Amino acid sequence: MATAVTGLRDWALASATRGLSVVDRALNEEDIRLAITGLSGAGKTVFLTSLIANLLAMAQGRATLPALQAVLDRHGGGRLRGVRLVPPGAGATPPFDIAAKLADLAGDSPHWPARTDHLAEIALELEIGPRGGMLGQMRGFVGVRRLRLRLLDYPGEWLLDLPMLGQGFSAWSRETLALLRQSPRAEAARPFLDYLGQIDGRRQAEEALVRRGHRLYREALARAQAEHGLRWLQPGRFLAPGPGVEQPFLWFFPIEGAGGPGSMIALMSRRFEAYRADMRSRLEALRGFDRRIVLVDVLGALAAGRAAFEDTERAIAAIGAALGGGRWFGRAAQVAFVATKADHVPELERANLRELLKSMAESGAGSGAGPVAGASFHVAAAIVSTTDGWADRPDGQREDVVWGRVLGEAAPRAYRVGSVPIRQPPAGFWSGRSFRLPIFTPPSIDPSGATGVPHLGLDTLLADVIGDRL
Amino acid sequence: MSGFRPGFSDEPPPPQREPVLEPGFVETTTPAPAAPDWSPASTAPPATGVGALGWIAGGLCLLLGGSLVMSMIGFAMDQMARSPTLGFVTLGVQAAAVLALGAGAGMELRAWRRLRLVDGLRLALTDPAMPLETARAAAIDWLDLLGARLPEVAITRQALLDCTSIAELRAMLDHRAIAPLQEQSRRAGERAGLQGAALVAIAPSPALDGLVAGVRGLVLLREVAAIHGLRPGLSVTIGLLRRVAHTALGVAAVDVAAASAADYALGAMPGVKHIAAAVPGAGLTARRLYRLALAVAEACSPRGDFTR
Repeated sequence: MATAVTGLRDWALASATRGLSVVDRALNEEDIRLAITGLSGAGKTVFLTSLIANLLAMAQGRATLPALQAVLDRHGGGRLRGVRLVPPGAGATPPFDIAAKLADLAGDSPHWPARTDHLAEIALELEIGPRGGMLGQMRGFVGVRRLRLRLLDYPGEWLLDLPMLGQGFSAWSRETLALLRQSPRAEAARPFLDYLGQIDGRRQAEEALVRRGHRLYREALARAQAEHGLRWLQPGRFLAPGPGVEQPFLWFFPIEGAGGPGSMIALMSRRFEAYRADMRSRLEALRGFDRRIVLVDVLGALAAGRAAFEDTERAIAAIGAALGGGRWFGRAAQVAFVATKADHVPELERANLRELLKSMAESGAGSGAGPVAGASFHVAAAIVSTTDGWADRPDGQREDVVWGRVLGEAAPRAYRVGSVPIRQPPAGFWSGRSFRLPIFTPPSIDPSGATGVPHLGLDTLLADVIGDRL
Repeated sequence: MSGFRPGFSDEPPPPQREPVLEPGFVETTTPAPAAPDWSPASTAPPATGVGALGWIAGGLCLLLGGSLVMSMIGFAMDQMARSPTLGFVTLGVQAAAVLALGAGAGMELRAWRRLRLVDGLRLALTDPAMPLETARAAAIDWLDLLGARLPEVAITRQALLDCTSIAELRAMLDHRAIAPLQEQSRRAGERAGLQGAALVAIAPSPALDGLVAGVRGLVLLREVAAIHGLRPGLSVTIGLLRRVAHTALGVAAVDVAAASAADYALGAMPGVKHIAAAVPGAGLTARRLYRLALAVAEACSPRGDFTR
């Protein structure tokens, strides 16, 4: 009898807990879904690491994000009660390993965290107290708001595949090969183009030949990206394949012509269709993330020369158009473009950097993408690794520079980034211009994470993107 | 394109424009500026420090304590002047009293140390920079403090020794130590609830209800603290009361509300239903004591947030 009463009691307790949890979640839990994307090298990993570290430090009573703090304090001081990392649930998306990234920056010899080339997700729970005023205080009786900030690290390369969804294999091959035959792509793709001349796609598909063609094409894309700074490179998964075993449908390459059943071209076409189907499912991950941040390495594009700059421009415009709404992601989203590595530019030039980014996103040479409605534009450095200053040259001229310690060197050096134009530079700007941005040593951060990470403009960006929900 | 330049013929030529400088490192003798110090300001309200009341209380304590010591010395000297025997007896009595006070203070100190051990473990489990071995040592020390209150201590100790990260250590402590303590605290809360309700029922006047609940609550607080390996003296009890006042707000409202709802639905606390039906206020006392047990358990736990 006693056991039955106890069992009944436990059941009632569990049922009541479940029921009240549902009510509590409905009243007090909210989601903000923020996708962070950008082409490789734009700084997504560092951006996410800094964002999380500074939010956690802010919850420990440090003014690491003053602009965001100001938004919170607008409705009453001390409203941020706490921030905690939400453990990963039962989803299929790999978690963003924040502990490892922070350990890289907090060690005895701090170094930049390794970049991620795949989808990753992490969530933070912000406990936010009620707003001031009678209504706010009455809302406080219902409980403390728990704002779940879900952050998605989405490779920008995957978004460059969107135009492929509207193309067949032969159209895509024709367009891709035409582009590949132009300089500087042609130099990067020489072995692949030579190989194409040696095979006949109408003949029986030989797997060994297909794999070789795929390997050469992939190497061509990688070289175009690494050596020439090009960004409009398809398919994106060839450069950012993601974790796991590589599926056979990835083994294709562009080839022109028409082939019968069993031919190499027919096999390529089938794999292309399978790739497009897989791409659709990957794009699903972005659906629901109605706030999107696009990180752009504007300086890197400017440094790599005209072709790289125009390529990046085209890629950014395409990404912006895809994220800003349209057929793939349903309703229009709030999109913020951010020019990263702003600490490499003296303070006076940062406004130019922002204008140049805006110009790039809105024009999109040849991409056919229109300007993104309602997008905002920012400059930021997720982790500041330089110091603003000046340098006196031997000719007696003084100029604004940034000072930083190049990775592996002992002493800081003065770095001149050059002129940053406010819109697409004229042809004369590019004459012989191609250089590499130096990689500066990251600052050493407090290993306890209590003081966050030094940044530039991260707080105003966050206030702009999520401030309305606080 | 002609080579004519607009302007007066006798005008001196304009200065040559500085050539556009290519990006790169600048050769300079200028010393590098100091890197700006990244030390974000604290947003916590400033500490109030010792206020006027603190100084008044300290002064009063010093006055009373000093007067007492001086009186004792004076009294012993007086007695010694009257008769050495009387003087030595007085000294013996005073020494015994001082020893008793010292023993009490020592016990309080040990109790404080135990509380600090819990605080140290809390810090070790949340500080990302804490080395695993330091956190593990703190966890083992805390486990030793619990002694026989936990089942299968040896297995728990080995499990803690096998943990390879602080996250694992935290989870293992939750799994093998904190959860059983939580359950014991819940049971203590239920017991206290029943007894509190019964005491309220037999209290001769409704005015005594609060007193009854308060006294039982104090006993419950010490009981739950003892479950967590603490031996609260007076000062530790006061310290715990302060913590409970802070942590009571943090105890998951859903958990408490659910327990209350279930208790309402079934009168699940054995006996409380009948008493509550007969005596108004008894059911409320029972639920308050149960809630107090949860809050004290959280205040004494090295995780602090186990109810999440």
